[in-house]
Amino acid sequence: MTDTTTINPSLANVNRDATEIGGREIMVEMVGVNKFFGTFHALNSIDMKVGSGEVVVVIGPSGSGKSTLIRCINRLEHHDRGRIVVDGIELTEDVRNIALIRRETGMVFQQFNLFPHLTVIDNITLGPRQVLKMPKKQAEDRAMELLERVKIPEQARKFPGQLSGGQQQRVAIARSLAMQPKIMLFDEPTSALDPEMISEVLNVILELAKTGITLIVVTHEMGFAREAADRVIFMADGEIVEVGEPEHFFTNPQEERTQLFLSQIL
Amino acid sequence: MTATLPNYETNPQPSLPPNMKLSPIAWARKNLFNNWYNSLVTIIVVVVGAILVFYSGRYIFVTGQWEAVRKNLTLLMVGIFPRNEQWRLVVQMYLMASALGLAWGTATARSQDRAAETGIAAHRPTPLDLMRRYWTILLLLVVILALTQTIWPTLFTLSTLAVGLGVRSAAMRLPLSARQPCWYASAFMAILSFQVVSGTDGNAWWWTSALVSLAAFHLAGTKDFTKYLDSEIIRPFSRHKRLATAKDLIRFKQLTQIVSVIAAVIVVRIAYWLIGETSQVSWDNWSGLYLTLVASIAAITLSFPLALLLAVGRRSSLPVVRWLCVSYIELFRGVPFIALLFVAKIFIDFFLDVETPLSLMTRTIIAFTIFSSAYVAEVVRGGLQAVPKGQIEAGQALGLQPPGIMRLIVLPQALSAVIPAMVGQFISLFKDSSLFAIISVVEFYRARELIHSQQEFTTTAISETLVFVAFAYWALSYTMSKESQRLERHLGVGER
Amino acid sequence: MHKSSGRLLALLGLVLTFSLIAVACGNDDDNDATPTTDLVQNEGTLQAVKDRGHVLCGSRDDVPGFALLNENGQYEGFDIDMCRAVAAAVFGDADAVEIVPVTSAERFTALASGQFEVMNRNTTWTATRDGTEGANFLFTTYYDGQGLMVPASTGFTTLNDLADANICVSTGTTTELNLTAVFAARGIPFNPVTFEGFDTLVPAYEEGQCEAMTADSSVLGVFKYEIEQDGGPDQHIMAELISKEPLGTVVRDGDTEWAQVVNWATMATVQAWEFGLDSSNIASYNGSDPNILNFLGRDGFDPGLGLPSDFAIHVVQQVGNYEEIFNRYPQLGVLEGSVNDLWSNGGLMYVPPYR
Repeated sequence: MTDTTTINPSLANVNRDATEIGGREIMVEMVGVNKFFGTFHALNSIDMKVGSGEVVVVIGPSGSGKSTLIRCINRLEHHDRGRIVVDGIELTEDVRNIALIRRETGMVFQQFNLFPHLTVIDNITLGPRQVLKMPKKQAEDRAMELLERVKIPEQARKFPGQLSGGQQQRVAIARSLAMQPKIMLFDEPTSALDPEMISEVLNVILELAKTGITLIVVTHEMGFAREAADRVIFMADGEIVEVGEPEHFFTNPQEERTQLFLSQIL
Repeated sequence: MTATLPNYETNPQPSLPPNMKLSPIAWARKNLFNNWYNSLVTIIVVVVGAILVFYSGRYIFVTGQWEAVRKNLTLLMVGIFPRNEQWRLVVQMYLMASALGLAWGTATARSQDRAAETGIAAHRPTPLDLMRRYWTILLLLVVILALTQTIWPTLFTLSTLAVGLGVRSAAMRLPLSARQPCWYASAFMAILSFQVVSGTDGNAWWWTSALVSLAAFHLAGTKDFTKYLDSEIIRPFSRHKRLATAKDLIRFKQLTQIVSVIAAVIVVRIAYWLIGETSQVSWDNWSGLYLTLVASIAAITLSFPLALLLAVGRRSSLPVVRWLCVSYIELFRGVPFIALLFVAKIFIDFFLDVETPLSLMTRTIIAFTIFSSAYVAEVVRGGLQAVPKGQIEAGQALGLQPPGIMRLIVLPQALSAVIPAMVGQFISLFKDSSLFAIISVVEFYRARELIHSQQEFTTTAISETLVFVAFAYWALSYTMSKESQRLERHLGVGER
Repeated sequence: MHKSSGRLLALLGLVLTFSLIAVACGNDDDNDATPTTDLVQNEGTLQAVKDRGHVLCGSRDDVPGFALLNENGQYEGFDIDMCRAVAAAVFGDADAVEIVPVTSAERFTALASGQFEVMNRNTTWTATRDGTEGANFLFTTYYDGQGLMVPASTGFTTLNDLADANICVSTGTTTELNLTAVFAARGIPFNPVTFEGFDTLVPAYEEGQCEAMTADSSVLGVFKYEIEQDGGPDQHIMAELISKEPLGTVVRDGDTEWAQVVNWATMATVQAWEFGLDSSNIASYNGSDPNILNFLGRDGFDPGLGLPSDFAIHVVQQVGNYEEIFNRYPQLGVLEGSVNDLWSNGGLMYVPPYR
């Protein structure tokens, strides 16, 4: 799309003071991030920058650390070494920083993780009312707008258990958007869905991509990556192996591991 | 497969399974007499059932010597409670009926509002539904009233019901702004009713005023109340046209709160001064079925929040909190309840050298609460563990803080998952109250034993009193279990 | 992680245990009490009772005649009246007493821990109990003992009449041991028929499975009364007793002032009987017997017991003299000619002179 770097960022000379990447403000910056689960090295010296409004798709074989990567951004996972800065806020042990960063980021999970004891509309208004202290009426109006946007306003008073998987995931997207995040993190949003429901969710994400919000999407949907991504990051064994624009990435991968992976799934 | 298909097409109600509209005879033929051995079983069961019904009917209505129960009904109901102070119980029942009616009416009004708001009609129970739901309790009431010797208890029971229902329908008509005060009024009436029964001696007045001033503090802090004062009272009498800034409003609110708290304390003090502070009754006079009910309800309502704290504390990230909770739970689960009762009654005095010791009843209820909270805490912990980690992560991702996640996301799910186990615990707690007899507290079952200490009934009517007491325990436990199933269905809507 | 927290728990438990023991010991030192765990203040009981406004009296609620919670929720019986006598003596009001029912297992602990300061709970005075339970046994209010009951129609009057008889007895009690020991000592052969409890023993006796049944005579009195009330044959309780069971009033060790008060309040009922005073005539006594005048506190006679000088009037007027109390409860049997009769009538009721 733009002239963003095609160099493997782990090899690049990272300029810590840079506030822009390819003409965009830097939204997420990771420098030398390492993460261990016991002795398993889940993330190995990750360096990554994501610009404001950029759509980044992370792909890679299972167990390659994709999910861990984005879960580190909003501190669902604790990183052991390195530095993560989100919208100028450094992720430290300080709970206030963590709270600020979580307010800037929304997250959509593979298993939806809707609250089963609340109706759809209560799921969506919970965050705005409890965290942003928004009045009930205003929160519900916004929730209805968001449900319109994900095309299921008629389900507002139902419970999550009464919806299909695709509908649930769209509610989950609406729930995240209700917090007006600057960054949306998608952790394999379509992996738990029946095939016929995948497209309805991807369409919603595609529309979202056009609104200028920063998206980081972990997915196995290569078609989606090709269509929506500004950049594609390929991960394997906890490392970022290759980064590139989708056209270039899919047609002419540089690294051997990327070529192997693509040949297996395409 | 293909053969059954045309059946469905000709079926006028294709959405119903076929056996739902069977006639009684057809149903019986299909389910009871579909082959020779099933028919045989059915016949045997019917015959045995008929014999049982005949004998129990004869026992209940003809041969049973219910005189023992009839003569000692008051002993069974209120035990050693002084007979010339029984008006206190009557007053309490009326107050309780009003309190429950008020709470019920307010809750109904609220759920109606909510239904109107969301467009989903709330299910309104008809009188018949309520009868069906509480039939065991109603039956128990009828049995008790049938055993009374005058008409007064019956009239009194009916008028209590009337008061409760009357207050309920009145409460449903109150405006929205009256909701919060209604809850407080209901709670206050319930507390007051117990003070009427226990007498107002001792320090009752100060903790009542503490509760009332808390309520006053909260009410005075609500926005509606401040606005009302501002527009109706301050503005007409003030030189300023209205309170100028938000800051003024806050200051004004704080002032009202202080004034209301002081007013509440004074009002309660005066009320107690008027009632008079001394009386012949105390908590230790509670006994019989009354004690069994009060102690169980008190232990259930007190142990529940305590158990929540313990269960949450057991999963705390602070080691000291965790160890404290674990020790509490493991200590009191590992000790027999009887031992705990002995400690409460006797050994406490060895360790605490206090001037005015707590009354025996207070200690018993505290022991009961401590015992039950340890068990309930473990049940709740099971529920907490059953909530998937993803739920907590979703809450974190929304920016909720840990207390908010616990309160809004984890606990509601955990509790609805453990309702059956918890109610089971409560039912066994209710029956465990009969162990109070060990420390010579005359609870319901002990009252029954005392009947047979009387000369007249030493060896007679043993089965009758036993049947009566067993029936009362059963009726109450059964209702608890039914209500838990209802609550479970109600809360389980999301999982359907 | 798991292991270490388990160890910490064990440590915590140890600390708790030790702190409890420390607290207990600390209290021991403060009060200089006997090692029988009597940690309650032992002196000034009378003042504490007066401050409280009523007496706490340990008793029971399930023995007709002695102490029973009746259908009106009130305690009644011989032992209860003895409790009321103390209240009448201290406060001039027999109702200023709260009955605290206790089980036999917990009675001495409850007494030591201060649940009550007087106990009338048919407790036999024995050397061991006096010595090790921290209890002080006062006046014996009822001389009980193991006796034998036979249907009156048999005409049996002495133990010798029971040679080769079947005797119903509760198993595993001192009653059974006493029976065997006494009959063996006298060389009288008999057949014991044992039962688990009275609820099975009594019906068997009524059916005629045994010629006699044995139990404490106070208990026999209850069953005699019951059988006769139910229209059964008249029963005879043999005069001869085969064990000694003195039942009396008990207080905590260590407070002689309080012990005196309770003792004399109780004995006043017997003294009044001996003087021929009862609830109807005590207040209007106009004789000139100097002992009686002293007893009634006329002329300001005060023996210095810590009681009001006219306490005896309150006791007898409100509770009655010993004979009145005894005869109020037919389950206790016949007073006249029994061991509980006055010493002057050949019984054991003997109180020190009031002068």
